[in-house]
Amino acid sequence: MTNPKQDTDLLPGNQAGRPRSSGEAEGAGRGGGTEPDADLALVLRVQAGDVSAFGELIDRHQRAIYGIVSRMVTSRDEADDLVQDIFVSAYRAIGSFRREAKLSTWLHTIAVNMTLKRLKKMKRQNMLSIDDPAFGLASTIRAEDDPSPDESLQQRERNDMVRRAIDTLPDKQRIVVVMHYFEQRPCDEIAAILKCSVGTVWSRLHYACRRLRGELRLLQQGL
Amino acid sequence: MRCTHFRKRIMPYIEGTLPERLQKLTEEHIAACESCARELAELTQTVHALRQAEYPAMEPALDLRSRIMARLAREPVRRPWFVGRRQAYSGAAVGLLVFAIALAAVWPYLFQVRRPSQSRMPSNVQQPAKGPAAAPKPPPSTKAEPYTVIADGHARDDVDVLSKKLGAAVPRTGASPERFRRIEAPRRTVAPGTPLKNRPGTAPARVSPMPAHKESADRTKPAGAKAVAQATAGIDEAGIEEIPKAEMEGSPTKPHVNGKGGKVGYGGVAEEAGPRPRRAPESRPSGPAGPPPAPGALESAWLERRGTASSEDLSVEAQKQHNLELVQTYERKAKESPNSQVVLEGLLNAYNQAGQPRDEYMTANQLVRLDPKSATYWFAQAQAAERAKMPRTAAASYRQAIGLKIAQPYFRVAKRRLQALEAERGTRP
Repeated sequence: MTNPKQDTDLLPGNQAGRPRSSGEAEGAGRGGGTEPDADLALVLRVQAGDVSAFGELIDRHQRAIYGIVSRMVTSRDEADDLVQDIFVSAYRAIGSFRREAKLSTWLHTIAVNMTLKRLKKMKRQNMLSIDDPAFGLASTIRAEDDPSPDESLQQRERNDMVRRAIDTLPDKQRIVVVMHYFEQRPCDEIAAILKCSVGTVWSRLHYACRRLRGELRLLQQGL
Repeated sequence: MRCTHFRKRIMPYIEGTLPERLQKLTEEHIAACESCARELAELTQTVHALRQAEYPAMEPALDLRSRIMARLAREPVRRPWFVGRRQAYSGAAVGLLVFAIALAAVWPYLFQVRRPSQSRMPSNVQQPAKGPAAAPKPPPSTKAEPYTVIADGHARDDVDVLSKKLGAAVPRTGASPERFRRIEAPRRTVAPGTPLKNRPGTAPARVSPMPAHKESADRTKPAGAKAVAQATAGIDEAGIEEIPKAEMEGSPTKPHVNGKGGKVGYGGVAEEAGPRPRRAPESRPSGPAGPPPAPGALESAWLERRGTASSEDLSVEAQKQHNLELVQTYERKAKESPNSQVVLEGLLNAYNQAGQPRDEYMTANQLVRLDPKSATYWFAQAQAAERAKMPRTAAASYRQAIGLKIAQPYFRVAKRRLQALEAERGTRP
């Protein structure tokens, strides 16, 4: 399993080829001053009817979007479907992109809204996936997907505990926790994505941490 | 700082993003408040644990982009509604403008009331009032104004229809435009305000006496004896005048034959109603009694009255000859099939065009006897009776038509004519 903080994958469009963390990876427009310009140029090409330019935008932002979605849903198939839907929706709505926000923020807004909507729909339908973490299958699949098989048993157990604790959170708190602590998004950007105030983001984080306090106590004791 | 304020700032304090002044105030509160200090310690441990924990994301599938692009290939290109459509929207705006101008130009004509002559209404019938604003009355003038009695379109349409129905049996003279011009020639002049009975040519109004909406389904329906009796009783109660015997004999047409082979007679209803005091022959407006004139005699007499025949007179004469031939044709048809409502309606129109109101009335009466529940026939009888100067019969027939709920605008016309006739009767000495 790759540690997002030590992720050295080269993102598409990373011209300098420097190692980037996962948190930097999804923020393709968040880095230097040239990346938003590159996004903007691609957006203009897409708005002019160039579909291939949207392919480049997918390459630049799919990892960031997938990072959030895959942590919110419980299976790879659902994540794939949802990410496809997110990009198709973004393509449909790209004519309304007005450069008031960065493209990455705009895309994340679409992703978060669609993810929350999908989760709500799944809960309403009372769907119980075989990949539910409660059954342990998800962690098995994730372990199979894990690119680092040398991970110790203790590390896997600790990660499973964190996942289970986070999965118990309400969706709105969970997505804030995921974006802030695992995607390294600052609170003001999360507020821009969620279209709420920074105080609301801090408040959700506070309540989430209070909920997680009991769940993670065992983890802390183990540490 | 209070505890509530501290709890609002505890997360930024742990993250280290508080401004220096607020951070100092928070530290002072922590030093003073034991519960808040404990809360801070627990949350700091939780945040630390979260930061140390790993929640790795799954890697996107390698073919994610190709799958998305495949879906997008099926998507139509979406652009803002205004992009690349400036010409289309400009054209639409220009079209709307032109349409608005055209609509404003034709607006006054959209709500113009159709005239009765356009809707096959008898033109000699006084039209209902259209409100105070509409149709202002012409200023009174001592000069006589032309009073057009003939509705040309009716005669033309009826002849055409009858020609089709009778297999080109209806003769017509001259070319159509010339004929129509000739029809308009004999205009009668009457001063405005002249009573209907004093108007020359009011009775022989040459229009189709049948309202246009007569149901064709009723035409071959024979009437029962009971219905005829009811109709007869209704007329008798209303007080229909009897037609003088001399008038009947002087008419150019012979009595009609009913379905049983017996004579119905001109008196029709009146004969069955029993003897009544007959009107003096001199009161008849159509001239002295005598044998039926030979074909062409009427034209000759008319030409004698008119003096020398001009080209206009000749055209009128041709028209009269045509009308007479039409009457003869329909009389022959009526003898062959005396109960055919189609033939009788044609005969009614022929009498109307030929200016024979008495015969027209008798034919209408036959139609009423055949179908006493037809408001249209009652209306036609009322019109013919009015033209034949039988105001009581006309009033009774109008009442029957109104009672049978004749369709508009004939209902309105019937009511107005009935009122006029009753008023005229009330002023009569």
